[in-house]
Amino acid sequence: MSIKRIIDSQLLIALFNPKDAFHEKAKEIVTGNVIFLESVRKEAKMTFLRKYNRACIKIYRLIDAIRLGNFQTEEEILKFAETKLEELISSESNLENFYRFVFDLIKDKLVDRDKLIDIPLVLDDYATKIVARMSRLGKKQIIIEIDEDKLKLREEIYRTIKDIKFRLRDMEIFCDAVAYTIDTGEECELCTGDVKFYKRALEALERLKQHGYNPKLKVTLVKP
Amino acid sequence: MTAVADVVDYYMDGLLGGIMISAYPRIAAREYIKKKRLYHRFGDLLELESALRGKEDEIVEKMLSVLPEVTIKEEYIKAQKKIVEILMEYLSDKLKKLEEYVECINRSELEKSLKVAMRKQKHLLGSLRENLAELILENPTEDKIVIDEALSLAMRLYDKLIQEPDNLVTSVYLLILLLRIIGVSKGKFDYEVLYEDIAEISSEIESEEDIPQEILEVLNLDI
Repeated sequence: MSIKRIIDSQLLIALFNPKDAFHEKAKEIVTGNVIFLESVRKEAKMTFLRKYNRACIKIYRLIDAIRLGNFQTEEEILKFAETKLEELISSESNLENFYRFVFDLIKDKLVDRDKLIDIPLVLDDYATKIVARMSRLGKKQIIIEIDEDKLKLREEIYRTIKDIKFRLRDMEIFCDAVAYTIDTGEECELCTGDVKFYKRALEALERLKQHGYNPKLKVTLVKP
Repeated sequence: MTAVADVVDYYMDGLLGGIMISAYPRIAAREYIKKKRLYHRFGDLLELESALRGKEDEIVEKMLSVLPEVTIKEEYIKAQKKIVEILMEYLSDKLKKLEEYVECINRSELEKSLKVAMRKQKHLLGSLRENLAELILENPTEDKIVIDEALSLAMRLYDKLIQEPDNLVTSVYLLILLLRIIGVSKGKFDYEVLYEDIAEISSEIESEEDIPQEILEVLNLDI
């Protein structure tokens, strides 16, 4: 049986955003034997919504400029919108994939002034659809009953690595992944595209080994 | 009062109706009373709103105070029980009378009443969202957007409840979400908590056909 892969929240988000640099890679990874941890799903949903909403705010300002503008043709509107989009991206390149994603969703509606008012409804409905889709992943997985021993083990794992500077949610995801391998005895590969998370996870695995734990977990840094 | 609070406040009576039905679905049986013109027997049941008149803010405050900080299903269910207790505090006599009445109607009639009430509520949320959309375009802010996403999710929960009126978990999720929307709009909670609620509650509306084909093709969902 092939090694099971656990993907992190960044890759799960990329799976649902065709404009994400990791999109194709995420699709390739989930083709195999993959596990979607609940902590990953929850973190992915919240991060997706935050970034999507921040991109929407700027796109709405662009729409407002279209509402106030004096355009003669649809081509003029689209040319204006695309120029503004590039300006947005150059001012905040870390949200580029979200700007492009949101822009693509509403591009066709920009040329119809009567439809501009509906755009927030369309975008917000789409956001809730995406997070609902993320919920669907991994629903058929087995549920592990957490008894007292398993709970104690999780506390010990957390205590052993708690001073490693993970972001809060990353710590939860890493601990979940370690616990999964120990609970099931299965060998897993934690895949991430986040260099910081990767380094912290390697450090945490080394620490766990020094303390006598030997989770069958390896961490892999994925590149786009 | 902020512009969002103003809009939400305008719909407060309707939202409170939705909250009462989510917490205590039998309240929807009142629709049936109206339809069958049984006022002479159970007329005072139609006075639920008047029993609360002037106390709306107080009851909402109490319900908001029991919403959980931890956004997981188990905590939502605990909060729902407390919310029902709060409703009982204000409407105990009327709800007892309602129980008496519900025994006189059959299950299918009750279900029909519930569906009518939920369709009305869904329509109300749609109207609220149209007003919010204008505010978003005028001055887009993250709090307005996440409130609208929560409303969008609430409308999908209504869709699910119309199909499965007995689904208690969906009712609980809806109850919490409606209250949280009110709480955030009133500034009682930071809008950040709505992200957590949406992340948790959205698991209730997932469906297989929602997954885009290109992703379905590469996934092995039978693990």
